[in-house]
Order: sequence, then C-alpha cells, then structure tokens
Amino acid sequence: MPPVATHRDALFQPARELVRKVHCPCCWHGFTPQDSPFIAEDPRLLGDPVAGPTEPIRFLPSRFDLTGAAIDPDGARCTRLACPRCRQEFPRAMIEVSATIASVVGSPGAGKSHLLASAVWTMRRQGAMLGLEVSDAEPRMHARIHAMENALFGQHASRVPQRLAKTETAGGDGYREVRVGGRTETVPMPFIFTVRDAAARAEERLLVLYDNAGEHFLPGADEATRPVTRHLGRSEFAIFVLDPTQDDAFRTALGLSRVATGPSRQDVVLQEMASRVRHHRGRRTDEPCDLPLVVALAKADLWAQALGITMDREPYAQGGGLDRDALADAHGELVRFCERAAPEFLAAVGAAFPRCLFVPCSALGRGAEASRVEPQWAAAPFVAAWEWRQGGRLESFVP
Amino acid sequence: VIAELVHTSLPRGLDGGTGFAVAGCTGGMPRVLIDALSALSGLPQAWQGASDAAGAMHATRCIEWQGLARWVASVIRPCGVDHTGRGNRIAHHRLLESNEIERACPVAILQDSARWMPVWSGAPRELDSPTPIGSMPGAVGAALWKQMLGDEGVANAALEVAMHSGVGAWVVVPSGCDRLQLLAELVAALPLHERWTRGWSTRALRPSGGAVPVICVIDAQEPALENLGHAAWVIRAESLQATRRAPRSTVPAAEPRAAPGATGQITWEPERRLGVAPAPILDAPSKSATVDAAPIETSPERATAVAVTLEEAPASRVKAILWMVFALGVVAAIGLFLWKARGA
Repeated sequence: MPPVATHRDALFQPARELVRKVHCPCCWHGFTPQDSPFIAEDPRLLGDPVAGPTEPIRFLPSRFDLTGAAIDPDGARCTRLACPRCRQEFPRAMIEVSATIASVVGSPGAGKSHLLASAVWTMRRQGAMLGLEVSDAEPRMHARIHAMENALFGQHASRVPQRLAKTETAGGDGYREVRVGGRTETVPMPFIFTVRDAAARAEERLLVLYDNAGEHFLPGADEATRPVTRHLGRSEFAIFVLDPTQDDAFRTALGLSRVATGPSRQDVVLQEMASRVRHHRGRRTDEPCDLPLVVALAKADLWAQALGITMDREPYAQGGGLDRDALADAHGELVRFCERAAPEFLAAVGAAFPRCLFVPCSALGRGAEASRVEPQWAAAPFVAAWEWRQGGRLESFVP
Repeated sequence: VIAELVHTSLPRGLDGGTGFAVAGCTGGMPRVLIDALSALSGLPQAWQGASDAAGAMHATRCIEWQGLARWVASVIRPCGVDHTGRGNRIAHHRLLESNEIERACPVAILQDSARWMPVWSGAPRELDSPTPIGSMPGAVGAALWKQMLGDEGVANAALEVAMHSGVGAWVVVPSGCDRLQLLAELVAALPLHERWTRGWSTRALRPSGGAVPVICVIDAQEPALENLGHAAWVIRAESLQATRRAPRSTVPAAEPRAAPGATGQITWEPERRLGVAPAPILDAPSKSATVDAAPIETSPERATAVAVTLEEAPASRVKAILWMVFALGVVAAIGLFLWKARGA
C-alpha cells in the first residue's frame, strides 16, 4: 500500500497520548484511562446498577471502530466515558489532558456562586487580556453554569436586578445520587473548562471547579455518604471567598452598620477547610497545607472605596496576564485591614497556608443595585490562583 | 406517619448549622433518616416568571431506610427570603407507614394542605408526634383535564403511556395549569395499590437512588425540559405525542410517535424495557444475580448482563475456583480411599 494511502486511513493515524492516571471529577477515584467504562448510546440499553435506572449502562468494551470509539452491545458507536466507581460521565478530554482541580470555599451567603459565574463570564470575554483562552470542555455538561451566566448577564426585559438563587445542599442539577457498594452517595457535578495559554497554544490543561453550598463547609458537614467537598483532598489551589459584610468586626472597621443575624465565624470555616485538606491528604495536624490559597474578599463595591483601593481598572498587565504590582498593592492593603479588623482570621490563614494572597473582587460590581451587572476584578482571584500554582506564570510571585 | 421533617434556610438550624438546615423534626429521629430526608429537600430552579405556587413541588418518592423501601411525601415550595436576603424555600417531608399507604392515595395526601407547612416560624425545635393519615381515596374523574384539554380521555391515554414507560415519564401540560389537581385526576384511574408503584411529582424530578420510576406532571415552561439529564418519556398532553429521550451525545432522539385517539386503546409500548420494575430497592441484587447467568447474545438482557458482570464477575470467578478446588479434593480423597482399600 503506498504511504499516502496509509496516512489517509484512520487505522494508520499516530496513537494519541493519554494521561497515566485520571481522577474522577465527581468522586475523585483514581484510575487508568483503559479502566474507564464507556456509556452505551443505544436508547434501549438503560438501567445502570450504579448510576441509576434511568441512565444508560456503562460497559467495558471489547469491540471498537477504526476511530477508537467503542461499540455497545446493541451495535451503537459510543464515545462517552464514565468513572469506573461512581459511573458518572466525565469529558473525554480528561483522559487526554491533565486536569487541575480547584476548590471554591466560603461560608453560606459569602457569594461563591455569584463570583464563580462572574469569573467564568469574565474569563471567557476577556481571555485575550488575561493571556488565557477559556472554554467549556463539554458544553452539554455545563447547563447549570450557562444558566447562572445567563441569569446575571443575559438581556432581561425587566429592569429588576437578577440574582442567583441560593445554592442547594442536595438535589437539583448540582448533585447526583449513585449507589456505590449498596450505599447511596451524593456526588457533586463539576464545571470543567479547557484553559490554554494564549501565548503558548500547545499547553492546554483542564480546570475543574465546584459550586458547593456554603453549608457543606461548616464543621461536621463532611460525611462519607455526601462527600461533596472531598475535592479539597485533590485540589491544586483553593479560593476562599470571604465576605467582610457578614462580619461585625469588618463592618465596624469599614463604617457600615452592624448585622442583625448574629456573629458569622468565617475564620472557623477556614479552619475547617484546612482540617479537611490535611485529613484528605493524610497530613499531620501541625503540617501546613501545601496548596496556594487566594482569599477573595467579596462584595468590594461596598467597601473598597473606604480602604482606598481603586478597582475601576482591571488588574491586567500590558502584554496580557495579571499586573503583579496591582495585586501586591491590593494584597498589602487588605492584610493591613484584616490585622486591624479581624486578626483571628489572619491568624487562621497564617497557621495553615504559608502561600496566601488577598484579592478584592466584586461579582456584581457597581451594577449591584441596578439591572446591569458589571463585575470588578471578578476573574482576578481565579487567574491569580491559576498562574500562582506550580508551572504558572506567577509561580515565583511573592506578595 | 412515622416521622416528619422540615428543612429550610435559617440563621441557626436544629443541628447548629446556618443556611439550609433542619428547622424541625420528630423527636428521636435517627441521624441517618434526617440526612436521607434532608437530601430530598432541593427545589429545582423555577422558570422565569413562575409564581411561588407554580414553582412549588409536590412529590411522593421511595427511599431506602433500614433495608426497606419507604415512601416519603414531600411539599417543597418557595417561601420569601431568608436572613441573608436570598430566596428561600421550605421542604416538608412525611415518612409514611405501610398501613397508611394501603388506604390513602399519594396525591390526596399531597393535596391536604393542612398537613403541610407553608412557612417556618419560631426557633428550630422538635415537632410533636405526627398525626396518622386515615382513609383518603383521592379525586374522582378528570374534570380539569376535560376543561384544559377538551377531553377526559387525554388523562387516561397519558397515564397508559406513563405507566408503561419503565423509566418514568414527564407529562407536559399547558403553562399555568393546576398541576397538582391534574396529577390527582391522572392517578384516579388507577386502583389504590397501583398508585404506590410509582413516584409522583409536580416538578421535573430525577428518580433518587431506588429503582422506582417517577411520573411527573410538569409545566410546558419547565427549564429541565430543554436539558433532560436522564432518560424519560416526555408526553405532551396537548398534542398527545410521546417521545423517549435520553441524555446522549451522538444518537438522535427517538422519532416522535403519535398516540392513538385520546379515547382509544393505547396498544403500543416502548420497544423494550430493562429491569426497572416498581419493586423494593433491595430486590435489585437478587435480580442481578439471575441476569448474570443469561446467555450472551445481542439483546437488552445481554446489555444488563454486561453491566452486572462488571460488578459481579470477580466474586463469581473466585467462587467457581473454590468449587473446582473442592471437587478436585473430593475426587482425590475418593481415589485415595479406593487405592488403600484395594491394597488392604
């Protein structure tokens, strides 16, 4: 056969490189790519013993077509993959590209969902200025984040401010129930994005994010049957969303009126997070957590002016990426503010996270009271954390 | 009613947490049961412009507790804003006793508004012992179906398809209808004991954990309709079109099939149904074991066998090896005995 003919045939295409080990983004079970079952496509093959009676069966294939797609027992071509443990689907890109798991943590009402939606929207739109190209790894699995983005940034007929509903602790689209080993487990549904360095287009990674309810991070909420925050054991960086407006000490320091709902102990949530990070990584109690932490001080449109922090301009550098000086200045100002208003929070951070960066942000921006949402620095905590991890452009950055 | 539980957003819940927490529950409830009922409390996000009443969800679902399948009736509805200023919802669940199931219609229990809390007031607390449910036969006739769709037979036709669906069904009704009443009239055609072979809901719902299919009467604007996350039959009551949809990437959805006339006999069924029987959850393992021995051929049964083999193969293989070793041992012992006997 002439070489030209062989190159055209799918059978003679060079083999694709796969990652050595995949961690399921739902249950964080580690497995090799060849162990992941395919999801049947024939509409008659329903009823998986783990994923549920309304899910197509998952199977380890023995028949493939020339492109590497599996053939299910009824002859349909299958390309979707699932975790061998929880049988939840994950994007095919996860077996081809390395993934970075990130945790977004905060107390109930801190603004995690709003910040996540605004940050994703900003990263999509302002990727060129951030030096990153961000896109959905599998758009079909992102209906929930799309709905959140649409709710905040879509064109609404009414001029009523659009707000996201409170994140549910179970049920809805954010979680799935699976039966593993005869026991029902609730697993979270992640958001998985493809992130590409705009300058070096070949370096592509996946970013796995979770929109947990704040209730999941409260002490005592980490359960084996609801392992919804176990991503803390696998995450490469964490973003702690701190809401200064929930705390009376912060409010007093900012000249705002006191809250009527009682004290909010966000330092306890941070300590609980550090404790879970250590437990799920098998670390000693006195060991520091080895992942970088970005503390995103949310709702900055309400308080940044009082601290003299200017957020009119996004902290982007000239050639793309984040402006180190702007980040360092804001960090310094916020640390001084925390020392003054909530030293217990700063102490909790210092005790557990040697690498920590404070970033102000506002998911709704000045449009908070108006119908239009204009985020300020919303993507900054995420991009800073992404670039600050090992191999990132800010790896050597010391705030 | 064995127990009841109220779950909503509070500054401080019964277990000390803030946000969505248990506001009240029957005294002495085990933690496992509290967690199981709390996990049913999520309310799907309503469509834009939905009123609080339209966004409410009335549902009966089957859960596994203490190794048994138990029925839970729930009413989950939006209830203003919570202490953080965000939209709140209240979920009120009742775990039903088996003797109550024998004499009460599931939808009639949901319709009894006096049993369901519209809003939580006061501090978190233990609730008094729940009042038992007596005889509740449920609705008769299909007057609202006739009024909304012009023909009572539509309800029967939709029910026929839904009951045969095997994987659950969404009956899509025109926007703004009283879905709870439509659901009550839908189940009215079934004998009482058959009404407890399915879960029922007035919002789009994924079946949780167990193998009991759920039949939902949902609004035409329900957001989940656009992004169906699991397999289900979607029956559009206005056009009487039934489509089986599954979350797939490449294979197109099944062709819509027009049901026969509303008053006529439904004679068709989904092509094949796979082991989704309205049986208690614990029946599943024994069923799987019998399917495991099914002959390998291109059939849905084979598909199930493949799925089950993934789970069962290692254990059955070890068992087979042990049996072989045992048989060889017995043969060797008999041989030794005979050889010695001959020598003697």
